[in-house]
Amino acid sequence: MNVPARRLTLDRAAGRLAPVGAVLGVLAGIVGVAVGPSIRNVVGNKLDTTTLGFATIALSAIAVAATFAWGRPGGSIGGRRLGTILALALPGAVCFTTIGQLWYPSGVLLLGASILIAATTTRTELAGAIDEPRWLRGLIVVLGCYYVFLGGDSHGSARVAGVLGAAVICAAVLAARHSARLARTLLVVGALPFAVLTWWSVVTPLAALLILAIGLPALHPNRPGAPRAEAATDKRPALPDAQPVH
Amino acid sequence: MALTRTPVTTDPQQAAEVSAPEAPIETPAGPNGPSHEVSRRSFLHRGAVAGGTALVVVTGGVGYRAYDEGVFQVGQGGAYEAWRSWNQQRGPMALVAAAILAANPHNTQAWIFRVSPQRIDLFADRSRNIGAVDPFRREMYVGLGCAIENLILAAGPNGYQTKLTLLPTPGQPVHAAAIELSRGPVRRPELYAQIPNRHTDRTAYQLRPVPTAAQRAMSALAADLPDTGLHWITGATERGQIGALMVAAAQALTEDRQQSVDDNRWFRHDWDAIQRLKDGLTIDAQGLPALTSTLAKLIPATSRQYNDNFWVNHTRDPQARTAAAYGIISVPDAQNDHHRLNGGRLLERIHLWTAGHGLSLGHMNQITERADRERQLGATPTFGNATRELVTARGTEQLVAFRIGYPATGDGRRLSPRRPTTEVTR
Repeated sequence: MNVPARRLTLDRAAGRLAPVGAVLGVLAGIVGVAVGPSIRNVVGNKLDTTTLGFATIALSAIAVAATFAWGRPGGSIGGRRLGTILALALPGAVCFTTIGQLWYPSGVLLLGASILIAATTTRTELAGAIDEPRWLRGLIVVLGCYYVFLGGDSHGSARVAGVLGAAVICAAVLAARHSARLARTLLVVGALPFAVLTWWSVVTPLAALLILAIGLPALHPNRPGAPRAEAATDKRPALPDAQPVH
Repeated sequence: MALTRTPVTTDPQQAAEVSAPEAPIETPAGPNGPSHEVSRRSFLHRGAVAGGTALVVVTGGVGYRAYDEGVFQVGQGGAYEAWRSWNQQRGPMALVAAAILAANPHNTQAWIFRVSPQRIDLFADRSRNIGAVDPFRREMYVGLGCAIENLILAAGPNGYQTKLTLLPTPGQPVHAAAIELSRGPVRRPELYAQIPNRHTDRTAYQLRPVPTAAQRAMSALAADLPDTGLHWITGATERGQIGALMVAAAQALTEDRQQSVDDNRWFRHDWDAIQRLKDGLTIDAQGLPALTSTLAKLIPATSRQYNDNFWVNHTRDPQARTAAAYGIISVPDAQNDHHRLNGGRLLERIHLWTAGHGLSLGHMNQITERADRERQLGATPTFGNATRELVTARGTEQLVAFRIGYPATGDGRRLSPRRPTTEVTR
């Protein structure tokens, strides 16, 4: 595969910016947790600096993980490029609202790195990433993460339903490798209680709707997004265009 | 992408053999038929996945906004802690902890307490006035009267006897009251238990009359408060008239720019501001249905004009429309701070009584707010005359008014933020 020199250069630059930004982000989160109340004007006048500090650490950890994956063999090609872009850009953008000015250096570095990667990512790679079955399962897991976040912000039974619901949703994705029926049952059991308990919140019913709308077809054995479907595709005889033409 | 390719052959027989049994798309169309069909499917599939991804991102944004605006934190956090810990303190501070839960105008909490083992002094914090909405501090002193009542109610349960002196320092109305404390037997007045249950209910009430016995019981609460009276307006025609007057006053208030600005200054839209300032009017306390309340938090802060329109409309319906009765607290001189403080004490007693008897109460002071503003501006006393017509025939003046009724939902019971005792004592 011929990789243009420009792409190599930009990828290398992104590979240097991203780890620095991610580690600085973790440090900024630690500072927010430790002394946030004393520097409220720096952390965006947020009241709950502890929770937001931990959120910053968690989001920065995603960026750290992405930089590790980026450095591994094959980590910078194909659909993984889109994953890296998102794993750097989302924390990079969101954390501006969690710890204010403390995030400025990290945010600039992470967003810069994601832009460098995006600049040389081809449409084919983007399309390939979206077509990958893992993408839909990834979306379900992301929605499960929303449940953890919002459940953690809730109280009483809603908190339990949110956190446990997220665990059950993730279990559904794993269970899909063995039983589509079990996976879909887990998906419904995980998604509905929290949404019902907090129906007035708008966001949890919306998330539940998406979990079911994306998850039920994706975990269906005959759909491209399903793990079993992948297996079925693998067993399929080679398609005509792969056969020698007489 | 194997599925999108067309067999590369010119032999129709071969083409049929290779495509029929295995290829997922079967279209007998022309030579380019399958390719178009599959491409369209592929395009739609990718579009659906991209659309789903976009919706997941949008949901994440909405979720963060919900977190940032405290959608899942209704009634939680430091701003609401005073409601839960109100009877956890000991000594004179226990009395202050009860006092700060009192009704007060726009939740300004315009009070400062100076506490010593034998005495509590209450001062008006004039920096917390509502400006042109309360130009002569009528409501401020009524709110201080409410706080005094809670404080005295909390004395008995904490083993104190009290001696109250209103406006103890001549010529210094800022010094609203002095309460001397001495040890006494533990007593629990009936109204004391309702202190944490009292909330201003701005929601619709049931169309069910308030029993005459209940009205009499509330009127009797004024027995030991000199110069205070309670007048009821219960007839449908009279309720309709005073309701229309209140709506007109609300409209006039919003058309007065200064009153509108000063009114909106105490509205807290931002969750961080609520938790930091612990005062003011909030979306939660407006008594909106839960879903509407959430939507109001998720959208950006609304404009002053929007808030004004909402308030006028809300005054008309449901507040005026569903008022089972109106109560008017009257005093000989509504400009007299002493009378205002006593009127405030009566108002708090009534409010606590309703909380203990399944009734809801909402404050309706649009008419007097406009009357005082007219007086301040030297304008034609349109609403000033109206207040006189309401109660002056009985030889007194209207101090404050409220509506009362049985609640239709529990939406009016949400907490309002409160500054803790540590922030209001000197």
